[in-house]
Amino acid sequence: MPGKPFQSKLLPHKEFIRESRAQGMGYREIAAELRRRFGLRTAPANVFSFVKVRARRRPVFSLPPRENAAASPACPAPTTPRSPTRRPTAPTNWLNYDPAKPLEKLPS
Amino acid sequence: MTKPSKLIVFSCGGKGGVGKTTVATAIVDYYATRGIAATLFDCDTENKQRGSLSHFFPEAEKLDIRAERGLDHFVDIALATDAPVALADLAAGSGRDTFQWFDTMFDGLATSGVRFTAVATITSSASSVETLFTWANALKNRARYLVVKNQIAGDDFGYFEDTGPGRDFLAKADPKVIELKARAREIQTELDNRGLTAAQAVVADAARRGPLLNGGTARVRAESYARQIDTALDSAREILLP
Repeated sequence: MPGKPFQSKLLPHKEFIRESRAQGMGYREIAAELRRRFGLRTAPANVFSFVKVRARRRPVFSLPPRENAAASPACPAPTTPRSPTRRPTAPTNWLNYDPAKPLEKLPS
Repeated sequence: MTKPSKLIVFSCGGKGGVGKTTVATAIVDYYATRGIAATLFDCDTENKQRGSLSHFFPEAEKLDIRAERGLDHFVDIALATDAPVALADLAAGSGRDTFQWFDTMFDGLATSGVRFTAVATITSSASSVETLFTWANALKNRARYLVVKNQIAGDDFGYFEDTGPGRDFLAKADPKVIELKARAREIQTELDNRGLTAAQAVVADAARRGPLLNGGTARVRAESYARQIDTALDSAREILLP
């Protein structure tokens, strides 16, 4: 008799994980937040897998670039352009402020 | 049916010890003096008992915004009351939780007639100013800003006024900027210890004030502190009144 189908314990926190990723949080940080906020112990890799399997745009797996283009002349490179990879939108820097740099006083 | 109008005033919880709670208590006094009802939230759950908003105003609800849906809970209570103002004293380091929540909830709340005023207390130290820029970068012009220049550590606010992000902030956010004049340390410490704001100390009975604050000059100073910050806050009434 098959048991109960597997369901991720992260599922109730899907929205939290979605928003955290949109904010640019790393998987390690999200795992730590899940533990702190909800008492849910999980490894960063689990969060990664959870996001990966649900990602709408999955990365296209490809072979590494040819070492020598002349090695296989019978097979020309495809001419159809590949769709650009979607990158997460960077948060707008409203004040041109970089927290990583010390504040510099300007001449008055 | 008219939309409920609610003003949510909150401290930008960044660097500790810059006077966030002192300013928050002064704002509560400001509302009380003018007969404006305000729901109070003490979200600084890590602050020691004597330094927190609820030490000065026991009616303030202690609330941990870092708990699951803590900020939702805060707004639910704020919206459920008749008071036109809700004031929250946020803990140091509560930025990330607030920013994320703000991004999700702002549009819906703004449509419901909720407005936000962020209160940033800065000193002459760069780190307190960095806190303000971090918050402003996240909240952008979705909140109005009250910047309180606390002169506790001097009156050079060059990191705020004379830096690129500072000038950007002044131009884009159009904040109200006021000063909290330096206070005699021993008097401020005694006020904090007794859970009294400057305004409360003026009218409190002798037993509550204690020997130090009962002294003639101390009372005059307390009165002067109360008047100074009240006048300063009144100059920002546009973003403090509901």
